[in-house]
Amino acid sequence: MQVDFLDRYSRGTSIVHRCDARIKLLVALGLVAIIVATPASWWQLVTAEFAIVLVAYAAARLPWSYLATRLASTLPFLLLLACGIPLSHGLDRGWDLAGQLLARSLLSLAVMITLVATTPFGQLLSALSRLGVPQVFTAILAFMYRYMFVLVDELEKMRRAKLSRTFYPSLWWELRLMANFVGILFVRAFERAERVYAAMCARGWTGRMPEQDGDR
Amino acid sequence: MHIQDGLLDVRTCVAAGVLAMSAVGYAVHRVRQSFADRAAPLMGVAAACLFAGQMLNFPVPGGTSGHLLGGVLAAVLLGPWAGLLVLTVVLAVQCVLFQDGGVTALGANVFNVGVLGSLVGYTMFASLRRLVGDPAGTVFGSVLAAWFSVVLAAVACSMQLAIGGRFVLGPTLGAMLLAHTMIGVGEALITGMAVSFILRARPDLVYGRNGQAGAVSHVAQWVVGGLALALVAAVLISPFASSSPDGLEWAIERLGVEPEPVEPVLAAPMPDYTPRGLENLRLAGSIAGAVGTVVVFVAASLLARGLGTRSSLAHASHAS
Repeated sequence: MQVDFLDRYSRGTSIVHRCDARIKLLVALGLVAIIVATPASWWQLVTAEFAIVLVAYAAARLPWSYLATRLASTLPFLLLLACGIPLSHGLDRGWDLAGQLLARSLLSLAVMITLVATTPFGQLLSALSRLGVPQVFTAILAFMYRYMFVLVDELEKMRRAKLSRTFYPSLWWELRLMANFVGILFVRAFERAERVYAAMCARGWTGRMPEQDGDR
Repeated sequence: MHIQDGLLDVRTCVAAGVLAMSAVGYAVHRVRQSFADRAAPLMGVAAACLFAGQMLNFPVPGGTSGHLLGGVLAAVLLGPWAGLLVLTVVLAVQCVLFQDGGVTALGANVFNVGVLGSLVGYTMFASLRRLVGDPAGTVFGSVLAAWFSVVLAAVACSMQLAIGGRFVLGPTLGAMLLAHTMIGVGEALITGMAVSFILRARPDLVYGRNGQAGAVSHVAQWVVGGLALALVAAVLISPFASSSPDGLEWAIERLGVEPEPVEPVLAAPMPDYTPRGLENLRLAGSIAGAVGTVVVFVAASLLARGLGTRSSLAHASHAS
């Protein structure tokens, strides 16, 4: 997993990038809440929301292809669900509901994509803790973000080793191997956590995260 | 199963959010108490591990694939409250960084995967473990609990979708059950085999094996047992028993409102045609659920038997 896979664009210098992370976070969450709660008959508000999202994305000077690929990756699942509405109503109604649903989901997705693409994760974390989220929670998030990449790489290594050794796996063996992967991953992760904790204690860990400058 | 923004109506989002938030708030309190300054590194690495584990796709007969949810696995290894906290963190990261699951639906997702998977799943697991006895019961319980947690999450998800009035419960539930009985079997087998692997490699990592913690109160056991029975009765048996709308559907009809009567924007392609298949979808889901229950029960017994006796386990853990 590439390190900059997630926040490739989050170190830009546009006006949206430079905005305080707390404001961005609150505005994004508020905007999503409004989008979800807007009744479909208030089409003026829906248009306004659409415009706000597009203007924010444009102001961040991010490439449009990025938004398009991120949105497209969620589209199959959303389309499947949207089709489920008219299907579950017996095909004679629910098509407009499906359209509204799709529009709401895509708009909210665009908001979140803009937020993440303009804010490094470290800034997001310090914004969360300054907004009153319990410190245990943000510390866990910070550790998770640090080790996520390590463990995904470890899993990828195991999978490559498996692919180069097993040629005709049956379904049963596939499941067995996968379960062993999960087991090994957990055991190794716990042992890693124990080592990390010991190392942290040796360096004076008291249970409080040091203040971060928010760059990583 | 990660619900996106815009699929649920406002009431459902708020209600699920409040429920999930209070459960997670209590979990933070419990984790702080029992893990102290070990909480951050331990839970963080466990969350990263669960995140990686969820990227493993297993093939599901029928051409699709499912991925591990890991609710019961987390609870078996970390205990119910820490498991809930870890799952919440994973869901939050998936929601914010990967846009997998919506922000407004985060409460519902935490409820379905975390509360039902970790808290309810753990209660079921711990009861079964005590009933069967360690170590066979550890594997047996985790297999059955993993299966039920996935089915329970699918049922809860369909009900949340139906409360908004946009989705009709019967066919939605049927489709969800059809999909998730298969995914649930995969989840149950992987959870069971992973737990049995960990029992051999590092038996000390399984939560509550020495009886010091991890006991579940009788009230919780009765509540979860009742819930499981009600689920079996409502989802798996009722369609065979009568053709009238059952308790679940009745409850949703009382809760849900009819969708706002809007002029259709798009003309329906087949206006007067109500596919007969939709009525049967519900039935198919129930049959799949019933068959799945039997399959998982047999698999759990076999896996637990394959684990061997206590002495061989002790030997294995000595040797490693």
